[in-house]
Amino acid sequence: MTGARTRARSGWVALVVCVLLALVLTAVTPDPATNVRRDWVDGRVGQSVVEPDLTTTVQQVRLARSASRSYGDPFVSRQRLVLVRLAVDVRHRQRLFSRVTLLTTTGLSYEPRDEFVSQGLSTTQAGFTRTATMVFEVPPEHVPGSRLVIDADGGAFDFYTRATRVDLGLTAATAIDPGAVRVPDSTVRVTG
Amino acid sequence: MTGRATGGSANRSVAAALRGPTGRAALVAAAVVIVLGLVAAFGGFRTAPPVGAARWAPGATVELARWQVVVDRVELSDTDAYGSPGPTTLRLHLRLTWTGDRSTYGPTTGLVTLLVPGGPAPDPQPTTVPTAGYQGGFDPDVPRPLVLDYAWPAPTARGGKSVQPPAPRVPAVVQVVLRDEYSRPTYLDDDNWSLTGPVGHVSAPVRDVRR
Repeated sequence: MTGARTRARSGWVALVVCVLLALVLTAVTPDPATNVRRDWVDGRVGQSVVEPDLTTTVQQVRLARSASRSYGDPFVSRQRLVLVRLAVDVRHRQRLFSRVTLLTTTGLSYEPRDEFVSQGLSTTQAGFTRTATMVFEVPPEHVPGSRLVIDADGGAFDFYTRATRVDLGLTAATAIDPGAVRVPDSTVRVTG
Repeated sequence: MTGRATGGSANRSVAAALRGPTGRAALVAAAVVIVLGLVAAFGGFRTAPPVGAARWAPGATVELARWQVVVDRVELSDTDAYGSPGPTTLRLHLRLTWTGDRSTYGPTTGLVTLLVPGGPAPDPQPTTVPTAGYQGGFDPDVPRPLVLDYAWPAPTARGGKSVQPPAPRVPAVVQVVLRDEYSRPTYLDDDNWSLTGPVGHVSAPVRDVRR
């Protein structure tokens, strides 16, 4: 009887300790809603950034006030257009590229402009390389230090995973293209 | 002769009764009932649509929780964005700046609504008119125009089809009503926002640009 009572008491003590531990961890650890659920793979312009399912190479970054497509009028901005030309090798499973953003040092997150959807990253099957240009519209004061973020495709639940982050090398002194920059349509080929 | 004499006598007694204090009171009461009935019939007792306490002038910047809104102008139009004939619409020209920290598709439905004082209501669901080359969403701290077309009067269903009644006289002004948003985090979404009631409105003159 005494042994059973002791075991029961030990069980309750263990339960209370676990609950207290959970409360303390909840209080002292960072909010999981912020960017702690990513294993960032960082890189620079011209460098191949390798994840298990994806290799990203940012080939060129340009600033402009105007950009044109193969159709329609040029898209003219009073801000800065950040044009990021990149190639992505997709492996193992298809990628939707539904969460590609430009992240500023001021904590703002910009999605690629929908006006350039045919030129940007889109669904790519495994075994293929897509070459694309992402166009972001960003106020000039937020441009320096910006990074391109290629996050895991969104789903019903978010979970810990790898994601690519590329420093675009932009500074306050980065030159702006004087005219309308022609943005080519994205292309896809078998990864060589 | 007897009947005519009887009728005349009755008329005289009614007239006499109406001349008395009770008769006058009955007349006044009847007049009040008629006036109130007319007011009610024309909608005078309906609750006025709420437009909010604050008033802003066209061109003024309105600071909301996540948006800066400028009401530029309102036009009465009968063409679409490409100049082709279209339904009669009240075309609302806005300038919006999104002050959130990540790009968004656009303002929450109901943030901006349109009222026509004394007139038929516009269609509550506006269509977006492509403007200044923009087709997509809003980026943080990037001011940009937004043009919304509200069919006016609102189309009605007739014989299984949507039919727009003819436009009455051009309204002198319309009221652009603004609501604000407040944060309501939930267990599933820590960035959940809800609309407040109307916080104010802009009385904007209407320019008739119909062909």
